[in-house]
Amino acid sequence: MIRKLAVFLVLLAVAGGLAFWFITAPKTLSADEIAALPQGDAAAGERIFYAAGCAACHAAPGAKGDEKLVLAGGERFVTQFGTFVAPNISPDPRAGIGSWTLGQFANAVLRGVSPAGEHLYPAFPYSTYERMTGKDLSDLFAFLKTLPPVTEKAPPHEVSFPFNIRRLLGGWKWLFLREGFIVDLPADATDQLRRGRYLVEALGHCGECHTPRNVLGGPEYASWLKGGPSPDGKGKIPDITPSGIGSWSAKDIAYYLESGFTPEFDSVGGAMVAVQENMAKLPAEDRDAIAAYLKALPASGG
Amino acid sequence: MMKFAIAVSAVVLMAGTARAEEDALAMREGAMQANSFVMATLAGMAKGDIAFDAKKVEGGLEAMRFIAATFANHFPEGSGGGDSTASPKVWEDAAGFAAANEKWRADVQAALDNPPTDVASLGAAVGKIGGNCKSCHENFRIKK
Repeated sequence: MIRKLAVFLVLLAVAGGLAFWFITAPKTLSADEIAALPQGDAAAGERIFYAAGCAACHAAPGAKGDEKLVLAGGERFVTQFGTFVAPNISPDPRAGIGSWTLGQFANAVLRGVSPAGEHLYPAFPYSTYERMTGKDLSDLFAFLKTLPPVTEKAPPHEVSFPFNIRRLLGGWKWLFLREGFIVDLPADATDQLRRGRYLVEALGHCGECHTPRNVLGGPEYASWLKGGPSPDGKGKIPDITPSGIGSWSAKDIAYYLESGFTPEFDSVGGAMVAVQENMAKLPAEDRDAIAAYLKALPASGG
Repeated sequence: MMKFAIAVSAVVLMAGTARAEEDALAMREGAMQANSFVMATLAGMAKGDIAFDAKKVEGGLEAMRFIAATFANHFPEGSGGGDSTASPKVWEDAAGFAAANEKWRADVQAALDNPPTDVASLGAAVGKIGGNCKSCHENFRIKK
């Protein structure tokens, strides 16, 4: 009897270990999925670069104007889990991502897995970028290749135990990654609304800051875009659903994204300045689409 | 339009008739409120929502020059914290904060020296001046 129990417990432990192993294993795109990625168009990729806001984190701290095209990394993100340092994603083959294949880039951006096969920290918003189309991904990769290389690596992350065990991030992904769009649109939704949803939920990664997080850093999808305390512990991030900015018209939202001014002519501040400056580089139709989507969000619940 | 400048200046001065730190907070909030009022007028004209009026532009810029030239005075040591949205960097990086204020004042002065004559030149001036709002709020303000 004792012997049977012991065997049972061992089997249970093995099963648990196997489950853990499978759940936490990095999941990459299949060879077929990678082969299906289209040829990238660098000119089209510029719009994706601004919509996805790559420079907001990957440009050197304090970079202004054209310096934002130099993706040297080095910006520090202090969180409760440790300090994440944005890596160099310039096309330098050694310090940056110049030696990466399109497939490796796709796995990093869409699946959060590095070329070495390790999980990337979700400070990099792959939980959002996973909704990016293959065409946009290829175009973005082609555009990044045209930017100036930086030969120095950014410093490593400063993350302590247990968060330094990257394998555990597989569990985070299992718990918190959510396939498909967050907000369901009616079948007769306009193209503008669909474009707005794609810009906000796939490229713009607005929810990374504007959606509150639980103790494990997972997004609270039930409070989508409803704001909360700032992840850096300073101040708070506003609710951008109609319950927060319901008094703003769609035109007001688009003007804010273009100029940085609220309807009361207060100005954009903090980390949003870099975001707004990216949004200002998009065609007006994209800012209008984002505005239409934000106006269409439910005012409460959601 | 001088009257406009005087009215805005009066709002700023009224906002600051009390005591030290608390009053510094009221002063700077009043100054920013008056400033947003000027910005709304100038940007409204630049956008075409309000008819262009060179006199109103000049009055607005005069008012803003006054606000900009005195704004840094409203941040005495110890007036952060509490309800203040001022970042500790205002005092930690006092030189940077002073330089940001000076750049703002100089950009307003440049617009007064070379006054906008139409919607297009006003738009350019508003863009240049407005950049100061953003860069200062990016570095020296915390949203509460």
